Amino acid sequence: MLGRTEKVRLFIFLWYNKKSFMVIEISQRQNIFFQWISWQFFDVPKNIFIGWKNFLKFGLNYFSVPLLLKTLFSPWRRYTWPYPKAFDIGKHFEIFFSNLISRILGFVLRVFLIFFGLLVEIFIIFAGFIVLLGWLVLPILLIFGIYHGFRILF
Amino acid sequence: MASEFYFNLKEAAIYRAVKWERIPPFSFIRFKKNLFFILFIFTFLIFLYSFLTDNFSQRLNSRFLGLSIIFSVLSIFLGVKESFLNSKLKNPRLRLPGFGGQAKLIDEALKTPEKYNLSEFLSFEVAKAIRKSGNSSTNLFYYLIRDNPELKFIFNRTLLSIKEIKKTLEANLKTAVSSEDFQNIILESLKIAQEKGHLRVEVGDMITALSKYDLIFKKILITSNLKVQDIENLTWWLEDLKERVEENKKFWEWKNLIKKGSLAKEWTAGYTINLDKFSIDLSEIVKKQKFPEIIGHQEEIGSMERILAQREINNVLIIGEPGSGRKSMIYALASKSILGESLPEVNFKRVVQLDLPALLAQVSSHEEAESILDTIFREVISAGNIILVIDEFHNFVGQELRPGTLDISGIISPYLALPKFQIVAIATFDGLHKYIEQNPSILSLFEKVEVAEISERETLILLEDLALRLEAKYKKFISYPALRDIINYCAKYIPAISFPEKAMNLLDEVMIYVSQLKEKMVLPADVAKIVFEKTKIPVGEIEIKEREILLNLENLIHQKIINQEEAVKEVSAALRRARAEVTIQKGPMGCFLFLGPTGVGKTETSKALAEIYFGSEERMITLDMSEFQNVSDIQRLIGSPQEEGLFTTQVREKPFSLILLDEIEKAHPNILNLFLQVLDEGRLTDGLGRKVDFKNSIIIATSNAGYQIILEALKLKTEWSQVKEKLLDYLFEKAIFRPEFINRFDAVVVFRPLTKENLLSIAELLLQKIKKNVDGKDIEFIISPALKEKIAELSYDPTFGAREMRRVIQDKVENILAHALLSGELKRGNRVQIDPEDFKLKINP
Repeated sequence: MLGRTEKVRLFIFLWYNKKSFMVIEISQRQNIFFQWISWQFFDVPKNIFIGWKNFLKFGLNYFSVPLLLKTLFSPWRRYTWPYPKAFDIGKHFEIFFSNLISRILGFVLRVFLIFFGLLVEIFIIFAGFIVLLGWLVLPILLIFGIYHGFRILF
Repeated sequence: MASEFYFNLKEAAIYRAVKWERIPPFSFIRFKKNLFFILFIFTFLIFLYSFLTDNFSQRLNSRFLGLSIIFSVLSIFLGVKESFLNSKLKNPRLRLPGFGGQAKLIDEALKTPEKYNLSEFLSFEVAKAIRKSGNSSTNLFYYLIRDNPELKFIFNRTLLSIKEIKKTLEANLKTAVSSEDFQNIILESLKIAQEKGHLRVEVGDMITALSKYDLIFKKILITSNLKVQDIENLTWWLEDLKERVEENKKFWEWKNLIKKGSLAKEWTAGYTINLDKFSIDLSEIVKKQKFPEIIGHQEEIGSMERILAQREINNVLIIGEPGSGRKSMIYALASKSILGESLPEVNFKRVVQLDLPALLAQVSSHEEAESILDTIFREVISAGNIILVIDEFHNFVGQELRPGTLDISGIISPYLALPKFQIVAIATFDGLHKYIEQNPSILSLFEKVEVAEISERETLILLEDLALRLEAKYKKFISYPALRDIINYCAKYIPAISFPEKAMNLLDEVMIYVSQLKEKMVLPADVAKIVFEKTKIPVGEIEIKEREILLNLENLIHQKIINQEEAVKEVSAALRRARAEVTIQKGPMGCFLFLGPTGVGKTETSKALAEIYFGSEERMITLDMSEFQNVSDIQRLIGSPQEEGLFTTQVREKPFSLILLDEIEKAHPNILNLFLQVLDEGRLTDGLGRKVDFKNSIIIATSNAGYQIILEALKLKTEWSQVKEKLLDYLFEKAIFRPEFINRFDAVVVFRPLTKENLLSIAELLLQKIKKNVDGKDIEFIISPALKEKIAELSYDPTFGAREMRRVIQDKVENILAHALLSGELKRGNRVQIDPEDFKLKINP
């Protein structure tokens, strides 16, 4: 007679060996309709989201919005003039104003571009929204299209 | 084995896609979609026409509108369905519970194939072909090429006719049964897919696996002189092209969007007016070329980026041979910088090459040049977004000051220490040793990146890329065997220049040659022709002729050498062994030690071998080893930064040669040690650190050490087989050569002293040469046996061998003939003989 421990060991042995002869399932067999549902409402919208995100990021990068914000008050094209070493109040003011103008010029041009960049971003947000929504309601649109087409035809 | 393999296609998820594709909702889906789209356009145009012109009745008009709406809806619906089929159904998700993603599933399956249904790992096209094939490899091959038109690319490039292949396969289609190799093919294709990082077995993977196992495919490859490696390379090429086209289509991907650049990144940087005048903007070039793919040197590019990103020394010195792809590393840097794929300190910077020759051409004095350079360097720092590149840096450091040269070391060193000054300098090994190392303070401000030439495989990838561009430019078709031969010939016959440049230049030259001939296709013969023109080595021919030469080597040598049967036999046998690759040959094609007294034909045999094997006596590099009796002569032999190596340079330039080391026993023992590596590995590093390859040379060392033993043996009439032993004992005893040195030769050949009979034959050989020369002047020279005997008698000396004979013939025959020819005594049409008694001419005897 086998003792309790031996029985457990034998069970584990058999179970283990049985498993090693089994073929492991690695693909799921889904109904084609459910596959379509997951593709239509999950896979493709996910890709649309990724593309949408890429375009938003691209817009920011193309108009260099973050960089322009970071350097909003920097002098235009690094144009600065060094202050004289000797004390000369007139000269000091002159250079101060030159540098100030360089910064103001930089500021104006940057604000201008940031504004454009943000406009484009808003456009991308809307466009992406329309594409996503369009895709999600596409089945209904198609059914409606067929229905409407036949109605006009007859 | 069979129990360890489980393959059941009908159980696999992909099989359902194969079935669905054949049933009506999905069959001919593309055709139907296009049909409805055309119908939509057609009906819509009619509607538009009638709507605008009012030619049709309103009822008819609305019918056209209804039809066009229906057709458009159907066309969109089928488009969506096609996309669903291709992206979802054809790619069923594979997942191992508790294991994670798909990526490593194929690795797991290969470890324990019995646990998985291997058909799950097939791609749609492969599963479809296997379903039709009935597990026969030949059928599988047929259906793959029939249903996948893109495979035409592979067969067209190899100059194989896909129609012919299909015909051959069709003939075997019915008879083919489930093949035994099927299991191997499936496992092999999985391995290939795993190596390439594919999630499933793609068509290319299966074609490569078939080329290894399918008998008909193998036969096709053998008859067209192709290897499995070639099919692998071609599938790789095809897959790479497909992938690139696919990637470019996905305009919404970040990688494609970032290529558009940005409007205002440069606003934060200063202007560089002077730099722009004397520089080439590599970033702009890269943008214009649409970011060409850079192949090879990935590690070196990585370390270059890291050095540039360092806080302390951020200056890179790239050292490599010209043509090894140093410049393309810079292009890779520029490209990565624009795309923001590098480190933050390198990203979004302009890579600008300083054009020092242009600067030198425009200034009148060194002072002016230096002042402009100083301004430029200041601009680089104030702009803040420049990575400066200086090509051929060694030409501008530590040079003697002459017109047209410039030493920038003084002006640049203060800037090099600044963290804001990033620079990449390019130099050669030679230039580094000769000039830059003489200036340690400059060198200490750089970090070196050494660049080796890229591998042959990488060069092939590069050539494939280039081939497509050249095809577009010249409107020619470049065959794959031509590309393969370019790589092989370059590696073998043009070792002095680095890969990839030599291969790229060769391809360019071949294209021009083919354009001149107005041919449509670039073939291996065209490549062989250009290589022959460049190197004067009859390539192509050699490979065909070599077999013939090797089989017939003894006879060919004996046409030029008298006697020495054993020697010739041994050399021939050793060469055959080496070239037939019976023995594993690491070193040169063959290395021999010729021992024997002077004048017995050691050098003559070498010359004969050079002429027979390499096509000309000029393909012989002779070194008189008595010139290298001191250790200090090593430098002369292998070179140093100050001088070219007498030996290494010649071999680098003419690797396909016979190297004759005359009187090797006279060289210094340390020099002999140097040759140990050459004989063993077939490689030597020269004084400038360049590798010299001896794999295409035959090395022959000659020595007359111990000739007394041979002469003595001849006197005592000792058995010839014992002489060699005695001679070697003598050499070891006297410590002339060490055993490890002798062991490295393929054969040690002892030359016999010449007998009188041999001398008679040699006299005949030499006199025949003279006869041939005067024949050209329409004069017949009669060689009498008495003359031969007299010459042999006059020149016989066992110690000096036949060396004396040339002198005797010169003196007694050539001089007299020359005198008679010049004085007019000997005229065209004469017959002439020389009296052996007094060596006087007998005209028309």
